[in-house]
Amino acid sequence: MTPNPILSVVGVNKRFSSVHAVNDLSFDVERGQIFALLGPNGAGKSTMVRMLCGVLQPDTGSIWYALHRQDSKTERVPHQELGYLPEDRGLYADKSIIENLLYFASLRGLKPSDARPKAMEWLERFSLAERAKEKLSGLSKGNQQKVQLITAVLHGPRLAILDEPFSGFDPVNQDLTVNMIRELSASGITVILSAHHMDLVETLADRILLMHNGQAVLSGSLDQIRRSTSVGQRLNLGFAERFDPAQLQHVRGVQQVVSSTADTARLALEADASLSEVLGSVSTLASISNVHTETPTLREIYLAAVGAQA
Amino acid sequence: MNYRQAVWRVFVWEFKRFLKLRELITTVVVIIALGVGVPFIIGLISGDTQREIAVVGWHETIAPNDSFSFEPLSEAAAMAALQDGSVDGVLLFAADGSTELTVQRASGWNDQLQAYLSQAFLPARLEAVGVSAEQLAELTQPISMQVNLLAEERSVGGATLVSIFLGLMIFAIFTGTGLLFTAITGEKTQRVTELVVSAVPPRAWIDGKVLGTIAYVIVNLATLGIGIVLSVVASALMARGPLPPLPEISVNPFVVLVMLGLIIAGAVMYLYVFAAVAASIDDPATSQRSGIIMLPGVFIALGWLGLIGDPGNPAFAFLSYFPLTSSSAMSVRIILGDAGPLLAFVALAILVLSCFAARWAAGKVFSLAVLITGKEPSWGEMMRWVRRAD
Repeated sequence: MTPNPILSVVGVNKRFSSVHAVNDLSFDVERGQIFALLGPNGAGKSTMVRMLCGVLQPDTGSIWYALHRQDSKTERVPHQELGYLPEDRGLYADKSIIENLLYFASLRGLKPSDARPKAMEWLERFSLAERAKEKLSGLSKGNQQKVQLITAVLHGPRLAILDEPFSGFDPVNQDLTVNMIRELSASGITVILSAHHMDLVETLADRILLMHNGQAVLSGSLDQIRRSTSVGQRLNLGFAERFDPAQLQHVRGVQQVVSSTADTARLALEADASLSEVLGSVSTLASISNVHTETPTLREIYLAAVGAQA
Repeated sequence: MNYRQAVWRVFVWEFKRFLKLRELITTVVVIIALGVGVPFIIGLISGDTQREIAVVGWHETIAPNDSFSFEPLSEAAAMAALQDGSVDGVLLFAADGSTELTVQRASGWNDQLQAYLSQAFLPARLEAVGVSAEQLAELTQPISMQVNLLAEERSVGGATLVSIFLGLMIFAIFTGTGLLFTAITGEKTQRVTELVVSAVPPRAWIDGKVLGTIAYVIVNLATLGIGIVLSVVASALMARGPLPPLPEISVNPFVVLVMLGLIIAGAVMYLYVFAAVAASIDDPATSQRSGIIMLPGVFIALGWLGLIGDPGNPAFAFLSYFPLTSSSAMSVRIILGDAGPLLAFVALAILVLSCFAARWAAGKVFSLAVLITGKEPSWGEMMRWVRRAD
């Protein structure tokens, strides 16, 4: 548990008929943090996100919000302080972009006169300012997605909850979204995002909760997660001559030969393996021409963790 | 932002969402055009012009009027005139007393001519059978019968007012439920619901929606009223005649207040029920529940039964307290003088309580149903939601 959480989830459960969508989940989110819920489809991320926004109620357990101060924590959902990007995107297609933005900002407590200049600023940033009066239905899917993203943050929430913020975007707009999330965080807004784009999240999140079948598999910062798992470094080797990589499987400290060619191999090392010992052992088998080490990706860690659970 | 502010913001959005100034102006223009144009077209179609009739075997009894002018001609000349279109018909009085009309094709004025001739020849025919005009008038008088009422006479306008009232109510409820239905099913289809529910409590959303819809319906009714008044004025101006007199309906303030209460409470109750039903529909194009939109019209139309039969019979009295029908049935009883202030107040109180119950139950169903996509909850499931504690 963290000392000054803006949000605390305590033993939350949610069932839909026979499906245990969220199973005894607990976590804290610190003020100003970018917190990522990661997992494949059906892991329970969106259900958890909906509970955080008050769209769904937990069957058991509680969610505490302390958006202003830790001593003023409450179970009441602070609708005006939240920004929400739902997984099921949707706005009023027959209304203009600006009408949509002003309406949803007004539902979050912002007056239209205050919301309008802010909306135009955001639209400018996403290159949509000149189309503000166009009907939403006239925009491409990607541009509609941008408007939806603006809807989530226009009113200046203290906590932005973004469900799959990168889906539907091309790489350029994914980068735009990543930068936007970083800026939100830098301006003091706490961001909770759920995603399965692990490569993007890896570079963005301060803290990660990996979910599988409604339960937390791993949690912490990326470093903490790496340290806490049995997934060791990746070792890429080049050999001076042709070599049978199958021999490497028996080297002490090698967990798995991930991939290989006639003169290269990518090895997954055990978490506590000594790199110098492994290299020493391999050099007795073959002449090494080059060495390159990598830390395991989040995806590799996740797959290892889920594989262990399965 | 508190609950009332949330309701207000939804209300403003929903009201503006449907309100289109251009459409309202178009409505008024169309009503005026219909008011002025339709009587003119009917006049043209029904031949509201003077017909030229050639008469063979002239008879002194006939004289020209607004509809017909008569010209005595020989049979050959008359038929030639009919052929070249200079007369509309040839009327032949035969020596044996029979009458023939020859025309190019049958038309509505043929019957009018027959009626005119019957009237014109009536005195001569009466004289032939030895009956004077006074004796005929005496014979055709209805039997005199005085109706004595044991109860105090309270009628305040009769069938005209009932028809106007029920017509307006059906228009209001059909418009309101239709709009609400389209709006909610549209929001579910467009996946807007989750975003709204994350910002405001579902109950505030449904309250704002119902209020916004009612406000829009009121504006629509007012537009209709303005259109009708302007249409009457325009017709009078076009005809260079006086404005028609207003129907003589004596309405006391109590009746106006109670009926207003009944119509508003009735509309509110139906809108809440419909909001809940609409929220449960997944695909309006295929859902069996879409047909339910016709039900309020049936219930309200039951009020007209009071005009046909006895508004005081036990079955109709029951309808006048039953919440789904009371708004129309009790209004009919009030207008026809069958219900006094106390009974009207009881019906209104039951309806208002039912309104609160409908709001409470609809809020529970709406909160859950509006977030469900891909399947429709069963009626049983929705009843369980209603029974479930908050």
